[in-house]
Amino acid sequence: MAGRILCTNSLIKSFTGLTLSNSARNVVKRVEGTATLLQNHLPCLSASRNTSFFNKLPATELWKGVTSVSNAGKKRGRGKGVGRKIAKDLNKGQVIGVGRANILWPGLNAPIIRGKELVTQQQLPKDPEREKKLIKLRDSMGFFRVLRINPMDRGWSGSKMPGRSIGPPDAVGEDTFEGFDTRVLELKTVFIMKGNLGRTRRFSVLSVTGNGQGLAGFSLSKGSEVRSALRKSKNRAGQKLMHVELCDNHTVFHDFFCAFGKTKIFVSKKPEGHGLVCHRAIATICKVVGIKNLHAKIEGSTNLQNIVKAFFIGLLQQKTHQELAEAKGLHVVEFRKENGNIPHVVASPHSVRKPEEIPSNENLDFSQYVMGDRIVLKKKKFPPFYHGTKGHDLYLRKRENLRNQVKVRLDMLTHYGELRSFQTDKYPECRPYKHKKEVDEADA
Amino acid sequence: MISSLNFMKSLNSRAVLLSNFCRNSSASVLHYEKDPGSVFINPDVQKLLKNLTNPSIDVVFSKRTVPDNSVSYKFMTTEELQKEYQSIVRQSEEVLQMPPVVKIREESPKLISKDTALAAFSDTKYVITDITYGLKYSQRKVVVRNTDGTLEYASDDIAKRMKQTYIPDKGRKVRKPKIFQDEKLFAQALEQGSFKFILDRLCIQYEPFEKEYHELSSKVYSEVDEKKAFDSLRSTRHFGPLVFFLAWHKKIDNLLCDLIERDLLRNAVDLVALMSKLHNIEVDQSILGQLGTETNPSNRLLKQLQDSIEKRNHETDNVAKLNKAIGKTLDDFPVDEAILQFIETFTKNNSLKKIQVAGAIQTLREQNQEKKQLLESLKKSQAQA
Repeated sequence: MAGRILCTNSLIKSFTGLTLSNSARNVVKRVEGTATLLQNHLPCLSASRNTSFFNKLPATELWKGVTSVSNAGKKRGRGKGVGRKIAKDLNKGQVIGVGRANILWPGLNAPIIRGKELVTQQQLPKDPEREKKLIKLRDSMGFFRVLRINPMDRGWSGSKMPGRSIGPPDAVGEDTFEGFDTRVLELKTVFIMKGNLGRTRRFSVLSVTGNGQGLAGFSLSKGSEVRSALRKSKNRAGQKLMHVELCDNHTVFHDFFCAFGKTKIFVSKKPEGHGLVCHRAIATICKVVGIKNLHAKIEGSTNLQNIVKAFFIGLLQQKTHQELAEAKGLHVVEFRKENGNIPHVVASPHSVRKPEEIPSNENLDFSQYVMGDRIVLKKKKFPPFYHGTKGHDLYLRKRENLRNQVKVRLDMLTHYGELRSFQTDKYPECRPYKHKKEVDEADA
Repeated sequence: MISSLNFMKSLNSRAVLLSNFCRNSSASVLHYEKDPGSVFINPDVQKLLKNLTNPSIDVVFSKRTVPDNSVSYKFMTTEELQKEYQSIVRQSEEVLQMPPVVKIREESPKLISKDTALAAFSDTKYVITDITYGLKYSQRKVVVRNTDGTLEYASDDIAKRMKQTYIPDKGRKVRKPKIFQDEKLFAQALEQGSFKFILDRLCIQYEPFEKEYHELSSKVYSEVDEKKAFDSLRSTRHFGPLVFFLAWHKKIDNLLCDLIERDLLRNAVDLVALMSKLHNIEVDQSILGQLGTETNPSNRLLKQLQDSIEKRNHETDNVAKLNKAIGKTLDDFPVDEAILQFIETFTKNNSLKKIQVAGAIQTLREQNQEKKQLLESLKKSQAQA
């Protein structure tokens, strides 16, 4: 234990650094005023310890104390994301031999012999920038900077992997995957027990790859690191390609139902311009396969792996128009409303059945036949809760004589170039305010 | 006319300018001097016009914007398909019904009664419209009670406005659409070649006996003739009135050239027949006997539709395939030649652009010669094989 006697002056100095209550400050003032008189009569002993956790613990431990989160906190998800503290490496930017005093040390920060001359130790002019640079460097550390991803490259949510593209599978020998794109569908950590290592963490990646022209494959792979798991999954997906027929190069051939496990999917064919209205995983698969218009409704479990499997089963079980025609022994005829609903034969069987050959109980409804006699339950849409309330009725009554207002305004604007009434000619000053364009003085 | 102009000149120089402009623009427009209605509805003329329309199923039912562009499928037997095709042909007849060509109706005030006792009854006119449900446009009466007590039928524009107000026609506007008001816009639309659009819009906005309908439509027809853009109206309901207009005014040379260039020789014969019908020109009728069985356009449409099944029914023999690729059989060439001669004799006396027509005929002859040689050599090689 090292102790030291401090004189009253230093005591007072140390006091003045602190904020004191009023009475305490008075005492100090009095003491100050009589300092010279009392100097030898009021000695004060104070113990000062030079050991603390500061000089006992190594830097790593100290930093851990500042930055880490307790176990209980971790369980609650603290110390993640934006507010997370990270240890600063104070040695960064520091070089041995270079310090605040800019001194040249031959053999340490300078060569001993330069040319034929022996270099001697010497004081160089001070470098005021050095300190600033160090501080700047330290300031830039200590917080987590999120890498910016181009909005077009983002996945389904935030900076998460699912939905993001990880490029085409790697070429195998001479087989290259040109025009392919791989998308991650699922990335999660899984654990397995090992005899010697115990519970080990791995990453499981489900990804789908395809060329946008009907060729696609998916695979589920695991790896001890995210990157390796992604690569493995991507390359295995490239080895498991399946061919899916596309109708008119933009959609599926017909409505279909598909299921895997507890997941049931009802897929319906849609015309051009409809887009992909479905679960995001199905949409991602469709993009990769080359389907542009489709509607899908999932019933039951939305387990992602099951959705993927079910949808691929559905895609592969589709029948082309020709196959349908052959199976039924009838023409498959297309009716488009945009073409005035004229019949257009898209497929004919080798021999068409005569009407008398068709049994009376045969199902001839196209949509029912392709759905495997299933009928999609379409729930009735109920009117909104405010329907029939007093306020809404009142609103409707008030709106009634304004129901053509938009059309009338448009008509007036096309014909007169302004909004008018039957009295506009009589009272020309009564016109709706028209914002005038500011004319530049230079132009005028 | 001139005296009235002079009178106006003294009144207002601006008005004179305007009227001059109107006169000039209407002077360039061709009018029907006689009533064309009775000729137009003549069954023979109608038949010729329908033939000339030469409808193709793809154009008649071409893609159009609809709120719901969904696609549906059906399983069908061949018999059901045939029935469906027949209904489509009936539908096409409806779609292709030609807007009538009638003369401009002259307006004359029609007095119903003069009730002097009602004079000064009110300081405004009263317009009374019959809004009985289900009346035809022409049956619906609109009358006006004037402030001096007279009761008379409303003028055409008042009657049109009232009828449109109470029983609106879909697409028709009470005010004249901008495109028919603004000469510039109209010219721009013509420049863009949207002839079908303009004519459709005209049919909606005007009745066929209105003066403006006549002026505007004849402008469009003249422009089509000038630009030789006949293909933009072929297979539409406007092609018949267009041909009728051109034949009436003896301006068929461009159309005749176009028909020959496109190898639509039967239509060219129809056109000549139409000319002879309208202007009492003597032509050799024997050609019609050589053309064989006349097919009416509806039957042709039906055949077009049925071909789409045949096409799928595979294996037709090679000669038929070749004929299809070339578009002709060996039997067609003598008929073509006869038609070309028939046209030549017609143009000798009744054409203003003899050189152009003769040129078109010459090129077609050369093409036919080539096709004929090709077919013959192919036939020979097949026979050898």
